Amino acid sequence: MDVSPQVIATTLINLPTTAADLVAGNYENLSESERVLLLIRFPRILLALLVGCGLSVSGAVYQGLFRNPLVSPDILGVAAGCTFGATLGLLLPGSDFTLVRICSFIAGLAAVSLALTMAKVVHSSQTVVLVLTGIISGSLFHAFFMILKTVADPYNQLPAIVFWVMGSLSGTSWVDTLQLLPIILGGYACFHLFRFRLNILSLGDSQAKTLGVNPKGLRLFLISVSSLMIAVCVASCGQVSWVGLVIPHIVRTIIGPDHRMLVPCSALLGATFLLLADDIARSAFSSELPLGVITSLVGAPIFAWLLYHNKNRGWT
Amino acid sequence: MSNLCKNDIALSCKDLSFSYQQTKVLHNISLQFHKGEFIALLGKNGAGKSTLLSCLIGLLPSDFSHLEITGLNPLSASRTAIARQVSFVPQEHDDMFPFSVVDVVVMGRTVYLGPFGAPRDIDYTSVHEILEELYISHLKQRIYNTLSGGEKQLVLLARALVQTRTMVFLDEPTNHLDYKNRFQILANLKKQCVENNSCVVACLHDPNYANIFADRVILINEGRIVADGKTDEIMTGEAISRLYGLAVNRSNRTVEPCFCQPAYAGKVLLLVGASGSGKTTTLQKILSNNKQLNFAGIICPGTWKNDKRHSSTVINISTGESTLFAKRSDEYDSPFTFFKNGQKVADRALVAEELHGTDCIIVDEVGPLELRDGGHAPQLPPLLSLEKPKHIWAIRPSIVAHVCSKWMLVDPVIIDVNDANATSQIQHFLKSKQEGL
Repeated sequence: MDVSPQVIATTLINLPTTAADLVAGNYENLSESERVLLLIRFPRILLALLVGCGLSVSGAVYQGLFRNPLVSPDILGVAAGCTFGATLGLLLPGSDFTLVRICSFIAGLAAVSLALTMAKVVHSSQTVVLVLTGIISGSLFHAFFMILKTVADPYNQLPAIVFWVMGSLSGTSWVDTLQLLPIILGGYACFHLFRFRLNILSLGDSQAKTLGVNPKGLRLFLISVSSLMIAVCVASCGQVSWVGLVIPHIVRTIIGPDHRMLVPCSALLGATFLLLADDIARSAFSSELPLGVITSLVGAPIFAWLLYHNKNRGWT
Repeated sequence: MSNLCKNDIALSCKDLSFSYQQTKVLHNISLQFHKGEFIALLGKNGAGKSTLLSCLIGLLPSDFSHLEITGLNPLSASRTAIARQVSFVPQEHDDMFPFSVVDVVVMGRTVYLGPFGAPRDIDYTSVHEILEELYISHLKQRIYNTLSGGEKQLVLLARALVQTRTMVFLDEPTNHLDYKNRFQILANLKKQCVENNSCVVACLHDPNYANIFADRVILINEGRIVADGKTDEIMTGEAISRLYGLAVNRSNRTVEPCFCQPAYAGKVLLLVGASGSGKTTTLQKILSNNKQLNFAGIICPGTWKNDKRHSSTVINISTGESTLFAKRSDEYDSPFTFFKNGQKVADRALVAEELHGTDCIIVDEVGPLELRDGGHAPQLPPLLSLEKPKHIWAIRPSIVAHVCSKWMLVDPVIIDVNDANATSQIQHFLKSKQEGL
């Protein structure tokens, strides 16, 4: 559907009254294009910004905490857990989208908790052990997911599962967006407060200790916050690959590894990138493309070019 | 250390032990560090120097009856409180994100910032001052990972000094540094002791650096402190030889390996023969033929059953003290059982510090046990470091090359005990003057 500039302009002019209508749940007063803009496009835009910000910031934090540029936010099994939960939700009879999201969120947090508990039982504070238990937990939930896929009805349920896994922002409503908003903003605020400490944690545990920072509690807190952020992101729009891994990378090659700049810049770039990717996914072809496909297709060449262009900075 | 009063104590610990996977790595360490002291920890690889440093600042959980860093217990006090008193320069730090030098150094200011704090202008000012002080201001915009080893070490030192100058711990700060940079970094540390009354504790690999810079040395072997005191008193040639298992002597202020000194060549006679070929008999003959010479060491005559050595007695040549050294439990191929008392008698006969005036030290015998660092092995390097005495070691033919390489013997006189002229060759060796003497 085409939205002309005039329609946008009149919508914006009437925004106070329409906002009042929206809050009151008074959708009858809105024109058709106003409905499209306010009830479909705006929440979707906002969601894209929030998810992009959430994924890339938690990616940046994870890479710092694990001192490894190849770490992506799903290293502790969050994404695998979320995928399993969502699939379970899609298979349950009479399930609506809210239930899918709740299942996804709970299973994602369960996967991380499993990884953290295993690491605690091993009695090791080493990040390597945490990575390994994350892999264990992730593969366990992936196996559950595969089982669900085999029992799913191949004509109705399986395509839904596959499409959900590839990620999409379609069907976003204000309710979803507003649920996501406090968690993403709150999480970002946490990271922003600790952004200098992230530099210290990125040196490793014994260095952090000699510099006067007790790494254990802070790391657990930051991991929990970012897992929460990733869980809500994946639960609301499926697995959007590449953003969490590569946006922090791109930012690091441009401005360096200092988390004081890395955290806010990753948030901005991640949000912008996902918004653009979603625009392309929505409008490039007559039918909507999965978001994960676009993020990879667009992100890969950009990252390759940056890697070449900044040969002597960052990682190379 | 008598001039240091109690208020100067920077760190004290009593009965500190540490185990790693059920193996005790540190045994009942007790020590005190004072302000203004430059302390060097010396010891072989794996002796426990780095572990000790890590335990003292609470990086590793250790058992102790008392441990205090300027009044704080490192295991219960907050990391911030400890880090305000002790800074630490690690051995190597390469797996870092590519931070700039200023970013790395300013991390030392973390202890002065709140949990949500980021460095302020005042912190950057002190960073720039330290960089000036260490003459590395020109590096400040460089990326840490692209620096040379020496520059990296200086940057880490700057980070430690910007954190605190009260105590600075360093784990092998001279690793990867070139000849000049080693002296430069140590001189910088010495300056901190003198000008800022800092307590500097460093694990060092080269005893000569300790010799030049340290006020006090602590020798560590197998997780125990074997000596602790003023550098000049502790660093004797014998002590260093025993610590590292390499014969060295110390003249003036430098420690020098013996193998590169002319007097060392031809100092050792290896009397080679298979088991039962009469090495001990030959040695006894030499002893009775040369009553005018001052001999020391041990000879080990044995008893024989079925053409096999059955037992062995150790005799202290200087005192005549003797005891059973080793014995087979039955007549056949069972291995020797060594007796602790026998080794004690041997050890008493081989104390290098008491044998400066001896003409010749006899060791009967140096065998596979010694090649595995057991038996008399710990005594041999200090004995070799003595200037005057010559050595006669009885050994089996199969291990000649290994013995020469392990104790870095230069031009040893090798004599086959079955040679008809063996005795006269040994006489010749005893009479000959060593080169350079």
